[in-house]
Amino acid sequence: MSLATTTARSAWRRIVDTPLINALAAPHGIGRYLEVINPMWSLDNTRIPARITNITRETDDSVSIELSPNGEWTHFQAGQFIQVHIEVNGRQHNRCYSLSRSAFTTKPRITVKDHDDGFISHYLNTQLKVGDRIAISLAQGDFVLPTQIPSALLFVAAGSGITPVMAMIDTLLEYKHDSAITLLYYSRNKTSCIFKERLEELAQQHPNFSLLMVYSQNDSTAEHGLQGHFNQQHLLKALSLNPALTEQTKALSLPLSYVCGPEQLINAVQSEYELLGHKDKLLSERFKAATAAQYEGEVAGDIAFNKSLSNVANDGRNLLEQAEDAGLNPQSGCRMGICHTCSCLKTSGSVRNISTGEISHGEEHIRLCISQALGDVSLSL
Amino acid sequence: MNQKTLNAEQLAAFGDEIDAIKQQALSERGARDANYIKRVVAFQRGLAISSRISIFAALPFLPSLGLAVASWPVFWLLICAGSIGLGIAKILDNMEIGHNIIHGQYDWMGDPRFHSKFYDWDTNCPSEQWAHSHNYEHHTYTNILGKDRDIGYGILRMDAAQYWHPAYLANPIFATLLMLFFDMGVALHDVEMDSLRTGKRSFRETWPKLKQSLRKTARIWGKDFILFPALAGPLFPVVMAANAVANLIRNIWSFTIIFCGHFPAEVHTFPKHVCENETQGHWYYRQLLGSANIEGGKLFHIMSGNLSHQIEHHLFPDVPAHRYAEMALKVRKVCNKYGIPYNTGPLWSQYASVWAKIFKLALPPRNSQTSITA
Repeated sequence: MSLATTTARSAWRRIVDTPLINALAAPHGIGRYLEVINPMWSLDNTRIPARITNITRETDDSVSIELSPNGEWTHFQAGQFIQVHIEVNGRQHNRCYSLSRSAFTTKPRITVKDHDDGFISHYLNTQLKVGDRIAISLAQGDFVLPTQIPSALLFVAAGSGITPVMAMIDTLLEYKHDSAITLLYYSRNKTSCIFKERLEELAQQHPNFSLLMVYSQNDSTAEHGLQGHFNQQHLLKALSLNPALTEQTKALSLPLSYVCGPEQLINAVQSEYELLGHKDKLLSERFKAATAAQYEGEVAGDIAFNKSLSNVANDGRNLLEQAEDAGLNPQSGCRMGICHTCSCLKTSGSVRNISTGEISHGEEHIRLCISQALGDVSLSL
Repeated sequence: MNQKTLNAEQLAAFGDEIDAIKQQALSERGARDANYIKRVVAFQRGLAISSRISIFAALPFLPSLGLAVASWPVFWLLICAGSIGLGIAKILDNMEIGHNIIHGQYDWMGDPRFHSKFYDWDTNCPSEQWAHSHNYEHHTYTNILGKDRDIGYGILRMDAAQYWHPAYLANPIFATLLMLFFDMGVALHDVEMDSLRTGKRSFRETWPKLKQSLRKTARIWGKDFILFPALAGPLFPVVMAANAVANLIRNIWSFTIIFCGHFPAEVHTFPKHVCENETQGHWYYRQLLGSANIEGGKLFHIMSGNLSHQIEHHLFPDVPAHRYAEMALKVRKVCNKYGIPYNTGPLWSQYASVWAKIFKLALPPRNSQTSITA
């Protein structure tokens, strides 16, 4: 059983992209010539050109963007994300967005919420037009469904964290899977609830899918009498909605669960699962690098950039931001430790991984965006 | 040389003014620079493809094939257009595109196609070796004898302070060979074959870089001298000759531009101790005295990779090079203000000055205070 469509790379791409033809086009490779004739002929699968074929407004501050990538795009699994590369005033900006629609569709779709501090999310919400061309990566990430679908599944999502969950539920229901599926979904209020109609429609059509929406804003009418943020009562209510789930709960066992949303939600669900002794049943996806766990020690030392022969006093922020402020132009991507674009050789010194808290020493490759210097650090930048 | 020497305060003020020119250019970077480099790359790729097609299109017209279309004039027209076009495409790839991208001038775009870490150029030198020998050694220690290996490339005597040796009698011959095989000279530059010869380094230490250079050379020469000619079947030698002419055009042109940048008379070289505790202002001052510009039109500047603005390139190696022309006006003004010489001249006079030096330094110093040491 496969919960994804797999399309092979188109025939002409396999014919053109051969060692002999690339040797004739050395050192650039044939793709760099083809893309000059037509950008959609690019053979680069790290920046796959994609046309915008449809833009749907989901709520006042979110849009769904349907993409038509070229033949380098093959397939994705529901729950995965892509990196989106957008050029604004000569500069490429990269962000990660989850794919928000069934893995059975050939045209991938992302859904983007307009954050106040998000330059790219704002651009995508306000400037992007149908017919524009952007570049995307292949789908990545391991926040996906297992190959053997269990008889019961629980999803917890908040805000734009619904996007990968929507793709998974869509895929499961489209595949006519009869597992008991429950979604516990938090939004600020009714109007900011992404995919509200689609989810309600699915809940009506499929008896094995139960939907529990919770609004955190006081003035919104609470359904099922639930309100506010995630707590144990919400979890138990969600489990009680579905017969398959109730039985499992009685046996003091939780179903395979997925949580996606802001850090506070993930932390709350994680500690609840830990309390119940079922940490292993929970998969989570963070939309921002964990920042809460700030290093509490003293901020000290200098950061030396070996190649550019400069150094700055460490100010405690991540090394990517400090390098950029020092006037360097390191490659960067997701800025949350996922894409490894900013990976760089550290020749000496100790750093702390911001998302895991792990401390490492000596010569190694580190991701600048999630590394914090502990004292003097030398980078090959 | 009757230039004024600047005191520390003047040097600092001069450094600040040059810095201000740089900061303004850096803050203005944007769509204009991105569109410029994309346009040049698109033109270069198109020219390379059409030149290669032109070379092959010439073949059926070769009278010795005895085809109905046989015609010497059409054959020569197409083959010459192809060779010259390919030569120009290689010049653009190596100079305005490759050299400038590998300097990191377009790293800020965040696009791997234009990023110094990822770009490779159509010449024998591996780009990461170039980034070391050129971006680091030559641009940091510009014209410091014993530190900047660009002075004479380890082959020529280009400065009177280099000890004379009888082998330097062949200076003009070595220079001519370096010019004709400039791609190889550049490819072996960071390998430091001269250190191997003098015993400063063992073969074991030299081999990794040498292997990398030879591998890249095999890729580039394999393409131009085996793969493309092989597509012509029995006319293999014709295509090979056309490609050889293209490489020769590129070699002679890039040698000319690069030698005019640092070796005309009046350009200064420096002893090793100058770079100890050097201030930013003094570094700028040294870059200015150690570089020379070539005058010309817009097309000439593009064809030289804007290395015709060698002075601006050495002051601002990481600013997109197409901005040098407008920055040069400001730099000249600042130089006038501080009485710093600004070495510029037309191509023919700078080039004549370089060759005069090559011949003059082939001979031993006239007042033999410098001992003859090997």
